[in-house]
Amino acid sequence: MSKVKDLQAEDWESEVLNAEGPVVVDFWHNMCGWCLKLNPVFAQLPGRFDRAKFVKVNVLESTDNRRIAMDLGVMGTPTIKVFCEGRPIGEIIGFRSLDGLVKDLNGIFSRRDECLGQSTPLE
Amino acid sequence: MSEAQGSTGSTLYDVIVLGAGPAGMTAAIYAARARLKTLVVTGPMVGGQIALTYQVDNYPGFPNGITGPQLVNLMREQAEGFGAKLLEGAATAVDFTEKPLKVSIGGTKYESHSVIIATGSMNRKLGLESEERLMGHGVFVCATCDAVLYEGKRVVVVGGGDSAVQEALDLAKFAREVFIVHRRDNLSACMCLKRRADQNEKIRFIWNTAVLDILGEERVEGVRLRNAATDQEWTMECDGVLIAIGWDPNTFLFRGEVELDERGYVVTDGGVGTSVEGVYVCGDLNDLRYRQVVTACGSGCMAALEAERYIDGLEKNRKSGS
Repeated sequence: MSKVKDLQAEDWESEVLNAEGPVVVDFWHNMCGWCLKLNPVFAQLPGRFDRAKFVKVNVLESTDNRRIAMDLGVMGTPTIKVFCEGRPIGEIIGFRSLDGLVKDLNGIFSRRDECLGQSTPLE
Repeated sequence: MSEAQGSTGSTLYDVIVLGAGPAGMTAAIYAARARLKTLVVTGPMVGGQIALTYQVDNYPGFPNGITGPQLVNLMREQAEGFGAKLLEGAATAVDFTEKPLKVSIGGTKYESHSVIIATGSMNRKLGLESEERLMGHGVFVCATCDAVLYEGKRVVVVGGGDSAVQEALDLAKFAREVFIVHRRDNLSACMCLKRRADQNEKIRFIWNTAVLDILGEERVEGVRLRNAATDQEWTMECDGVLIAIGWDPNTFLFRGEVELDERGYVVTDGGVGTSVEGVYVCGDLNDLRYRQVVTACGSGCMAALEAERYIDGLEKNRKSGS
């Protein structure tokens, strides 16, 4: 089971935009109560989707991190953005339970054939 | 500490605290320290509103201030250190018609000699279709969470109380311009916040004005406003709208179980007692006037002390056979 990687802006291109499979990005920060509540839930997702990559971007950590979120239209935290072949294909705004997140992610993946083929839910 | 079992064979608690904001946490600290078997049902957010507050400057003992999440963690550590058990989740039903009192979380029922209601309040909404549709897309309720994403933007804050002004001040750290739109001609916020807002170059005020609509299809693009004194209507461009128009009591669960007033607040005996023996109320639900962290803690303490006395009375009655 892969772990959630804490991503910095300088790695955005290589880790997200140039990634081959689906990438799920949690935009968060450590002063956001709902983000802190989501953290342990998000950490369980790699165990549910074997071929998707899961990363987190702390928008308070640097101006560059924040700029990535704002350029993507993120207007609240936590916001989860899903990318496939470097393209945004869906988003989830706000806290969800694990079951809720899995369901929402399955819904997003199913809308894109290429992602569906590369992300197989384990359950 | 009692180790009794409830009527269904489940653990019988001395105190179940509903809500884990400063009031509920303080009640748990006092109850657990008094060696009462204490369960805290946290509700949706451990820490309540304070967990969504960036900086707390007026809580005694922290001369340099403390962040909301840090204060929550310390309170939690203290409550759990005394033996309170925190159960993350929300109560789905209560039954106060007979003793022991019952609290359900989904299909699981918990029993207790006493219950402390500390479920607090939730953000009041404007009631606009556009407000719901654009929530998370420029409409928001928590500057602590989202202000960072409005760097260089123009934001409208709706409201005029402590919360609205504090949110505006937090937003002004990042935003280019912050407009406080208030339906009255002066703020009801405390003097210290008023002064800070007046002195902040980024913050401006639009008085006697209501928000008629929030504009934008996929994200906020502006607001439609109306001046109540002149009936003039106009559109103002903005990137975000923060709603801070007050709070509604979170007491839906207790309808028919304890007496509520017409606004939904728990009717008290003048202190922390309710219409049901053994059920107490504290925090925002018992304080429409001050609503401070420290007053919430004070009433949480009072509720726990009353619960302790009530349980002592039950124990004495049991021993005397009455």
